[in-house]
Amino acid sequence: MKIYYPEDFFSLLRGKHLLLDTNVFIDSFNFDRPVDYIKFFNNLKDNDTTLATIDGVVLEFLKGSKNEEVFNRKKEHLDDITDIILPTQRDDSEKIKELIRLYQSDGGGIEIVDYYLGANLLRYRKNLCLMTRNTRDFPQNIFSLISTISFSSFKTIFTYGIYTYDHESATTPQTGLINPDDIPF
Amino acid sequence: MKLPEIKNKKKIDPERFIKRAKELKKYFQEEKAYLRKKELEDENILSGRFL
Repeated sequence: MKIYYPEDFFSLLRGKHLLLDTNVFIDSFNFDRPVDYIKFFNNLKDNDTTLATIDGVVLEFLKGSKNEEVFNRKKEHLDDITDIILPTQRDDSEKIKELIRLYQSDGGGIEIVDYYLGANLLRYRKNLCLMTRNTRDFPQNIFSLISTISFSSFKTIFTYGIYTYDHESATTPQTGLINPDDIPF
Repeated sequence: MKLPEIKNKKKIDPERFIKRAKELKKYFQEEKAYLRKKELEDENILSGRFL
């Protein structure tokens, strides 16, 4: 039962805001060992990384709550983890239209919350990174994958991508990751 | 545009987090089961099984 990440994972995120997708909040209680997520989140906070999310993720996480008690428990969970919730901005629609043009046909199946996450990456560039397990909807022809992290238990492995919309970061060497071209077969 | 800076980030209390995680896991399973049930009902209606 381990957390696997490249050597430079925490230094890459130092002083930045890390945007958490809905799947991170769900996994943090659904994983066999929630204590691993507690350590991870607290390490990030000690590392001067601000844990953030957006209104859209909050709503996605809260929806389906069968009663007030469940709603409140979910809200407490979000509040415990996050340092800040980034509000919807007036120019979100413009940023999303920019993304729609970039996604082209692949954008048809993208959830609207993912567009809002992408809009924030566009707005804040290198100062904001996204942590998501939904790697399919954040293609690397648009976003830069700057790191990865995996949580493993005896029966599950959850792997997340850390993305930014900062193309300078795309050339950053990713310590600990293997280039498939270097594999000798 | 600048991101708001947060000083003194609050740390997570492990005991409280773990207790709540157990409850949320149970609620989440119930939500999934409910959605699955609704999906099956919709599939049955669409296939005309209840007509």
